[in-house]
Amino acid sequence: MEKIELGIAPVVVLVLYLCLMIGIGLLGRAKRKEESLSDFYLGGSNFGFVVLFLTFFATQYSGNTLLGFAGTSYREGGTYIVSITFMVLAFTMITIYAPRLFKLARTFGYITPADYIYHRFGSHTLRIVCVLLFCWGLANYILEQLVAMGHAVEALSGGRITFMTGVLLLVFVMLVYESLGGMRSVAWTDVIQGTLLFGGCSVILYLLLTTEGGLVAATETIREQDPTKLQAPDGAGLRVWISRILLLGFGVSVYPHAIQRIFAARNLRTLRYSISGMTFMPFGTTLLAFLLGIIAINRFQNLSDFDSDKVTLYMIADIININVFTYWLGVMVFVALIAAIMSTSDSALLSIQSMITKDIYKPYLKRDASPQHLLKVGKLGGWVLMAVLIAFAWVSRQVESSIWLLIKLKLEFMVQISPVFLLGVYWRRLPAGAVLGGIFAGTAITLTLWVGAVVGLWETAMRSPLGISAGVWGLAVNYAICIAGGLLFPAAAPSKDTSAA
Amino acid sequence: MTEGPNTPPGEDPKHEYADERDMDRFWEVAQLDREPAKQWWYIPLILGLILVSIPWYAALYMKVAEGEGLIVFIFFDWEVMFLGLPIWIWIPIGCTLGLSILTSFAVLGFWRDGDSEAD
Repeated sequence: MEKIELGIAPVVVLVLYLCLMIGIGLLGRAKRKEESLSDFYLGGSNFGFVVLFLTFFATQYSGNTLLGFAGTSYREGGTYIVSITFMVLAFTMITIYAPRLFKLARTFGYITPADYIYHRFGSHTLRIVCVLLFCWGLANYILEQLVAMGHAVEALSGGRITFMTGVLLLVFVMLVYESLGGMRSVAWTDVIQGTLLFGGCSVILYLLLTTEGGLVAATETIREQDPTKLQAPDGAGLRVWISRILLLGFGVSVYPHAIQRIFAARNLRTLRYSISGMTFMPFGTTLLAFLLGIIAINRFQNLSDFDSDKVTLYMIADIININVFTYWLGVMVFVALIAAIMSTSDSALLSIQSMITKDIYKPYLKRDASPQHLLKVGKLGGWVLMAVLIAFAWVSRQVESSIWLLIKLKLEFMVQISPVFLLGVYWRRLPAGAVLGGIFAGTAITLTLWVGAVVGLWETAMRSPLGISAGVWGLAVNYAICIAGGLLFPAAAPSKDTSAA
Repeated sequence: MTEGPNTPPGEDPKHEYADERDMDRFWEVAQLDREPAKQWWYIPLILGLILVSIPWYAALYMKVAEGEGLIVFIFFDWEVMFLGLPIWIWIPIGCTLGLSILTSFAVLGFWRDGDSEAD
């Protein structure tokens, strides 16, 4: 594909945007109430509706939504409409456990999801395993965003800023504003980033309606030239569909950075309205990315998997030369894309920092650490982690891989934690041993099936037996063990143990 | 047991969880006035909408159309186009919109807890 040429103006816009982010970071630091973990990692649990909703929105929808989802729609056609279902279902699943978790968090002062896990199950092993799975998933999530970051900045600058320079620049700015103000800065930048994302999606809608006859003309051509892209799924396709609903519906609902936003709500009313609003957002984001991918089938033939993840960029490149108005619309989508990527990365990074300090470092390495010390360790850990992930992003640059493969790797494992929340808040009989056994079994099965795919034991669409995702097989066994464990070896009757373990 | 942020006056508002485990209190707090998952219709409706959103019926139609002898009455060609997309794609969109409305309705109408409502 030819290089996208936007001139120097987008670079200026990008620099202004990054300066604004640092300014918000400084403001977040100035507004801090105290040097505490709660203030730094949850913004003092005082976010009102606008901030909470936009931080949910900006965090949940990443660069992958605009790039990866459109790319998958391009490759797979109509069957990827399942993407709107699993994005809504993720929030539907949250409504199952969030009411109780919010009240518990508010009462007992949880800062991380693992606070709940230890409180509910009293198992150090379970807490550590869950934190490791969360961190694995989130680090993978950030890595995916770094790759998207590099592509976006390179495209926005017309190649003036290289992939790695773009990654380094954006990560540096992100670390600065996040280290300055923690969750408060992250959430406030999310307000700007979420608003930009709204703007970007509006431009996509404009593209859909105006580009060469729009959707109707595009699908008529597709039906003539490549009708399989609009055919309903067959048996194998249905198994992929069901796998995605289960994997992403359950997996996305237990993202730790989303759970921490539940903890950060000012009150129940703001949380209710924010979650309610979020259930409709896939129609303004995921659905548009899906439709963009469908139209791109007609516009760009035979893109590789790697190039297909850039169809959104190519569609924008097609409109920027029409007139000044469309040029600035194109610039807006690029900046929105970068905003979406940064907002997701900073939230995931902050969540990792909080879990490493609160759930690993303090209880097992330095029990008497002061909040100030913990905050320093968390910030330092964040910088080190990002350095490692940047190295991985550089490696990924050398090897072409589709963004979708990275997503699968993180969710397949993270989804195994879902019984902890979905069963744990309701079922008193559920013992820690059963949950731990379920997670171990689920993760081991998932890993085994992935290895089986690597050595060619099965070559189905989801790289696992019968074409059902490896994570779903693991999840089924996981829930079976949890339920059997709860029935056969119920947790002991509640007893008081008020000593810090 | 000390209480957490935004707790009633007189209790420590700055408490951060520090590995205390009073499970009687845990389960006492975990009770709400109303919650979506406890409404008898919530989970069945979610499952129903998800089930209809999966286009298994379109696959059945294709089988019948191909003459594989499956005795199922399906009166509709799900690949008929409407507003630029086949009908079988509009159905998941409609079901997902229904899921959004259901979730929103349940959250706004059936998630109540007196202690947590106020600022």
